[in-house]
Amino acid sequence: MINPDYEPAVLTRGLTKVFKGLAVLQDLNLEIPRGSVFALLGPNGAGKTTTIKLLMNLLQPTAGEMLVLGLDPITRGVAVRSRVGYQPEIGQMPEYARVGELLELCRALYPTWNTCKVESYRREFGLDPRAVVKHLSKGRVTLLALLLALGPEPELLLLDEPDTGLDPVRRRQVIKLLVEDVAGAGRTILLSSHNLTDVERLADRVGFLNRGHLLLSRPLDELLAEEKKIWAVFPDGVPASLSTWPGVRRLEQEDGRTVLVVSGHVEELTERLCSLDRVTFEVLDQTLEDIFITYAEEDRALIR
Amino acid sequence: MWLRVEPGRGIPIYVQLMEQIRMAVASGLLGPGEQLPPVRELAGRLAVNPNTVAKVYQELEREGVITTRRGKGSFVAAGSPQLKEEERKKRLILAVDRLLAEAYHLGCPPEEVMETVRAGLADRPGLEGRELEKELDQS
Repeated sequence: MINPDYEPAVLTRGLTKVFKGLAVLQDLNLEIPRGSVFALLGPNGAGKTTTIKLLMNLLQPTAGEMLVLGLDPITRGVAVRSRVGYQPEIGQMPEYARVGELLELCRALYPTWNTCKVESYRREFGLDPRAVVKHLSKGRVTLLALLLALGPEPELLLLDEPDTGLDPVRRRQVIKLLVEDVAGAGRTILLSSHNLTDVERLADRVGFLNRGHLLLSRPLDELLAEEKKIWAVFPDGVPASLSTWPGVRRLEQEDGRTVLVVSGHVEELTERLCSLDRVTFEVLDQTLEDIFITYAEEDRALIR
Repeated sequence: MWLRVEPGRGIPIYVQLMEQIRMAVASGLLGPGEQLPPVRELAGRLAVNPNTVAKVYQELEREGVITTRRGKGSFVAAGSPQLKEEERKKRLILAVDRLLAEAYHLGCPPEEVMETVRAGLADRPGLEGRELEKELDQS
């Protein structure tokens, strides 16, 4: 059960969405502390957009419960939406509207709309108020959606692929804006993305989603510090108990070497390896992408 | 700002930043008493999460590399950092390992390695070299 005294920005318990007999999201337990930037990572169809839409009450869950800023988005939809900024994935914008018209509309909808800030972002993003959405480039549509999400200065920002169609210069501009004006102000961001390099800059927590399952949800620093591979050569044979050593997730053979796929306990493992005679080894850092692929492979192996 | 972050290296960004600031203090690029930018400003400039920068400052303060004065900001500490003996030793051995691996591939004889280290120490009056030499003599 959800404890009402504790109030993270987002909390879900057993959240499940079945669509045409297929579980697109299964038993999701997500917890996003206030003031953090949480990146939801995963391949297409993993359930990222579904998660965000459920939190916005744009989809009805099949099972489970959730709290957004301490409120149930199903029964308190208006209250949640007035405090949450939402940038949908591309293609959700009315095509024949003009930029200025959309800004006016949203200004009327949100009592907390910051006209002054929106105007400065609009200029920074190079968005002409007279331009028709249909004629905007993909990147400009993304920037417009972001602008509409930022306008009410929400406590929580939900960003679905906020880098779609953006070139590196614009991407950096968006990151800086989110860092300074949103994260820097102690507000919370939940974003989904494929761009792992940008995620490393922006996020302090990541969740891996694959086939509707949350494979892990951890602080990013901790993940990079603890997920390692150790390449080792055992001239006298691999110790029989190796796979049960602390932190060892699994063993692989590669080019005549043993590869230990490791999660934590790195120091203890290196000490143990050092204590063996004639063993040479090296601890290899893993990138976020490497780690994600390792977890996705293990998840795939489970269904075989 | 000379600080740089490289995502995609498999090394947490806060570790990258800590290393760079430590190096800058050790080389004199950052002098005692010099002020570091506020967390939010540095995060914006580097385009990284402000919590990451806050963590860098916290860890460096714990190590005694910088001091933070409430409402005033963060400053490079006067005097050498105070790490626990064990932690200090561990890090030094790690650094020496890296040095020795490089020396091996360069084909440098031990005397040349020692000589170069001594010369390096002589160039840095802030660093008293006894500990490092002892370490090298052992390996």
